[in-house]
Amino acid sequence: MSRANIENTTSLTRRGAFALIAAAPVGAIPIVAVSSYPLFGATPDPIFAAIETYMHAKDAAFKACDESDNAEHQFTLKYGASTPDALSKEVREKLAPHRPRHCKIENRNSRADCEVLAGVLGRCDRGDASGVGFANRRL
Amino acid sequence: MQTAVFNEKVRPLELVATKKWMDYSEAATRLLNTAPTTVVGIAAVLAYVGDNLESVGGDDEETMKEFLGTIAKAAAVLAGLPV
Repeated sequence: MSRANIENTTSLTRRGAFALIAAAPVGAIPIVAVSSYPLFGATPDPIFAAIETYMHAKDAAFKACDESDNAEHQFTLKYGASTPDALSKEVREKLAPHRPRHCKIENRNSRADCEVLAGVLGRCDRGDASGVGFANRRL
Repeated sequence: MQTAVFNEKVRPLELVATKKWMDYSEAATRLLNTAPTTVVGIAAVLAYVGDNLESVGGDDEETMKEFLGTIAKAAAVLAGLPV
């Protein structure tokens, strides 16, 4: 998950909410007969708890996503892909210039088998259907 | 070996992130469906949602309709109007 679209948010505590309202331009909040409205109910307004819960959940989600992204990035740097497979980074880099899309090897069992398989990638390069089939089969 | 490293270092954090993201989504739903019981609460949630429109689902017409309906109902209750 990416934080690309994450916007900054301001902290809104109950005190902050009052400050926000106080700072609102005249006319933004109708003051007509305010005294006739219940500013404070007998019980606390649940909306403030909902706002705070949301803010904390949002912060926690973005923090967790950052940590996950960072771990994935470190893994990618070390192994050359964001998910595990049988190829080492070195083998992957060697194959990269020649690897057609459907020759991508994604088995997680035997690195040795995949390195053998890498030897037949030339058939895939020529669009040989049997080569493609061989490259895609699970070892 | 890669799988072992992935399962130890990456996968757990992915699972945590998924869980936190679900919590976040649920909190957004709760925020938009909680009826304020005070005028201050109405002003606060309108201001907050207005400032965070994108993250609370403000681009979704149905979501916003429900939210505005919740606020309209809460305002009507506070004004002593029939709901």
